[in-house]
Amino acid sequence: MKKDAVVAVIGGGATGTGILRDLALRGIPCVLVEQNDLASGTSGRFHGLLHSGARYAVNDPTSAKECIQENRILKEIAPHCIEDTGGVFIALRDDDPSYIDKWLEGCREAGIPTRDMSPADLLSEVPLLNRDIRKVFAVPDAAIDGFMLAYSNVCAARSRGARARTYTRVEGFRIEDRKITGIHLRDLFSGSAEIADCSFVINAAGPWAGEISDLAGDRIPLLPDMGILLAFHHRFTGRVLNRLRAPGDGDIFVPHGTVTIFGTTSKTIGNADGAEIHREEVQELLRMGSELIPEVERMRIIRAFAGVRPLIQAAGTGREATREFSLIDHQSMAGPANMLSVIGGKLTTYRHMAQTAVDLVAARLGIDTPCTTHKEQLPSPLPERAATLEDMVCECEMVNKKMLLEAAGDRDNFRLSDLRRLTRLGMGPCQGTYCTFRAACYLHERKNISNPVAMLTEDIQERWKGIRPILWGWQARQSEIGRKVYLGLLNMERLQQ
Amino acid sequence: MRYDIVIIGAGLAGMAAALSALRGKSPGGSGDRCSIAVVAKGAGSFISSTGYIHFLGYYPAASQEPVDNPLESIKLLCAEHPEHPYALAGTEAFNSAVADFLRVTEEFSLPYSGSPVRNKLLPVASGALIPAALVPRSSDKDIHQAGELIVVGLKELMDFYPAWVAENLKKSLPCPISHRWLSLDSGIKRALNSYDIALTLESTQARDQFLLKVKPLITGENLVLLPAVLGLNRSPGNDSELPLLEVPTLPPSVIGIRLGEYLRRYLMGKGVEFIHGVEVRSSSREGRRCTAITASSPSGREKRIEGKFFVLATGGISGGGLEVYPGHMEETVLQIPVESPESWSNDDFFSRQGQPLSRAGVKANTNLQPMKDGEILFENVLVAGSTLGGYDPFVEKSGSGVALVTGYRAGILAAGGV
Repeated sequence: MKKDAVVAVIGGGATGTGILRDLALRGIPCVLVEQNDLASGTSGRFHGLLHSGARYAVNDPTSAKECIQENRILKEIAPHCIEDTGGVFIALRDDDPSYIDKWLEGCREAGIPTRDMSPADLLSEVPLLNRDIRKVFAVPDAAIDGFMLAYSNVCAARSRGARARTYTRVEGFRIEDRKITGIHLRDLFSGSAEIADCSFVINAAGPWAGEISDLAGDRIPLLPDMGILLAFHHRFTGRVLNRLRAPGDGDIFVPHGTVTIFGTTSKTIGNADGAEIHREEVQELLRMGSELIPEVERMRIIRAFAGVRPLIQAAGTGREATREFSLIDHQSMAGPANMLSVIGGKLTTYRHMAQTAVDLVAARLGIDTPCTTHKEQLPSPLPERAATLEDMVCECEMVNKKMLLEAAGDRDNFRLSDLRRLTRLGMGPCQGTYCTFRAACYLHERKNISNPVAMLTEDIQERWKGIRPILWGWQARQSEIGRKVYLGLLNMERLQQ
Repeated sequence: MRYDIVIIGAGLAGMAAALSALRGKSPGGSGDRCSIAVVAKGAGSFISSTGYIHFLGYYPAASQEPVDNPLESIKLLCAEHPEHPYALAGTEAFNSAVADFLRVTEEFSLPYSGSPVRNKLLPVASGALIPAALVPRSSDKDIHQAGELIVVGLKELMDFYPAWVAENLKKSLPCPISHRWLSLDSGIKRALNSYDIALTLESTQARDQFLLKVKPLITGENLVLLPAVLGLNRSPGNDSELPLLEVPTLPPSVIGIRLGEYLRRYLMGKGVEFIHGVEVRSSSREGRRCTAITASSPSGREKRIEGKFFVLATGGISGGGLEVYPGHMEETVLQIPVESPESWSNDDFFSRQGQPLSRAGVKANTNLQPMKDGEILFENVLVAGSTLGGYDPFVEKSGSGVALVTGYRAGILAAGGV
């Protein structure tokens, strides 16, 4: 290896940050660039489910096996990112009974423990469930926080000298003799451009990986696939609920902190930035969910959001496409010889993907240090939650001023959503109606923010996006209260930025 | 229980209806004063309003320049939008509503000043200026005449940030503007809202002690801007002569709460009966008349309330007068179908065109009777305030004005037997 070799990782999701940590633990100099905040793409927009693998037991045995192995590893090394809720697979009376045996056999093959559970016990735990249950099996599913995982990965890598830059967009590559020697970067806050030297590039940009590959002159047949998720304003199940049938839409409920996340759907879209949710799609999703939770259509939803899965085109579409990942070595294509694209996969198996990718890169760089990411504990770097009501900013999630300052760190430019991912600011039932204003005002006084009014309005617009597809019932009321406050009381729409 | 007039809703529209109904004789023609009940679940939206009367702040709604003469612009608005609540209520009701409002606020010692032909511009907690026509006299201070502004924040209050207010005020005012933090030194170790602080400053002694800290800031031609926390009882006192201006805060907004409380006490004193804490979700009808409503308490106890006339002042979506379902909308007391817009919202939260959903509401004729397909649904029901459709109160800044005028008109119509 050349002394000044630097591996550049593109993408700050679970895969990219996992690769960064793996590189750093092997002592390979590395830098990560992300166009948004960490885990703001697919890794922050999913169920938050740490799979046991049982979902894939019948259709995708390789994924099932990988899932259970990684499930065990992550519960060991990243307990602060995981709530070990356990999960259940529920076969309803009308579900195909012949699937149950196939599924049990698949789980046994993959090494996924299943425990027969009485429907009556589950019903006493989750009384909102459909009572017409044929069979229930408990599996080691869990809830996982995708942002915390990515952030912990970066913190671990940073402590080994790695760098990670958010809000930095890749605009092109400097290619000499079929080798990338530098990346054209733009700082999205300051607008300034620069070239960062590098000796190898790992493209882990998820659904944006096709665009990155295009910049290097290679075409990857990527199929952005959108899934809709709904956040309900309370936690109505203590365990992950799955349907025991062939994987489909609207069949997973995951408890997360004070809320429940429900999804999802599968729809091919034109590009990763084109995810748009329509009210009709939400209603259809709810209809499917009502098979498991009959009351679901009348429950309060606080937000709808969409994640985009990066599927590979050749392997079929939507649910038929494999959830295994692909490594594309651009050496074998027309593009640069020192670039690797890591596409697809699942958050549960991100560490394994990272290990496989870094094994390949290390070999190419002539490094034989083995992977240790499965043995080393991830650091838990988050601000401590407020214990008293002093200096409170967000009463729903107990966020005080000190936590906000800690989350902002030494940055002057950030988005409120960055602090939200660190602190849960504005994640509760009022969805930031009060605390967004307070946080913006307070940070304006304590930090040197270039356009604080824009920071506030941008955040409200972002939240509005998640509310528009579910504008009925209590959420319609809440959003009208929001308009009353921001337009009626604060006249914000006339305030110059 | 039986009343001449049953008003559902205790917001400004319901209170205005009670106020004008008091002026009327019993619709039965016996010559007695009519009996009036206000039936309400909550306390209206006073808590989330500035406490000012905003007749019309912007016209056309999308303009950046505030309306100078609301009454004149309302005439243009009515000509262009005959479905607007102001067009239904008419100018006659407008003038008497304003006159009566100014008179009674004087009578109950929370005097308001101003006129519907001139908007004032007052600062709000974002640092923007908001157009308002009628304001409490203690707030009737011309910010443009001040030589200097000092914005004061309270460390204990979590909803008011003086540096933010000062910096944004500088965008629209040329005078020097600075900010200052003060503390109540109350020993309370938790973040407080405006209502909490207003309670701690309720006694004259506590308020005087606090004002001792503010007074040194007052010099020369300056004006001190404070969050609105100076007690819930804000009758003219020794501090109202000081160059202090209270700025409305995030909810709970004390200026709004004061207006609601003074109005309620005044109306009760005049014999209006208030039935609080009950929800009305069902009614009885005979042909095109509503004969009674059923009020249920949180514990499920039901009370039948009969009336000759009913005023529906239950609020819009946020107040619970209108319910939004996936795909359709309905009024909640009489289950009047509400036409829901094709598209419910647009992608800009702050759009100056407003949001289609906020514009939806019950349709009414010029007698404020609810209408559907050109037919009167209930002859003895009058609709007032944000239950009515045809306008977006938040973007045009007309919520309290429409509530006052349509409520007042509804009360006149009810007391006059329509």
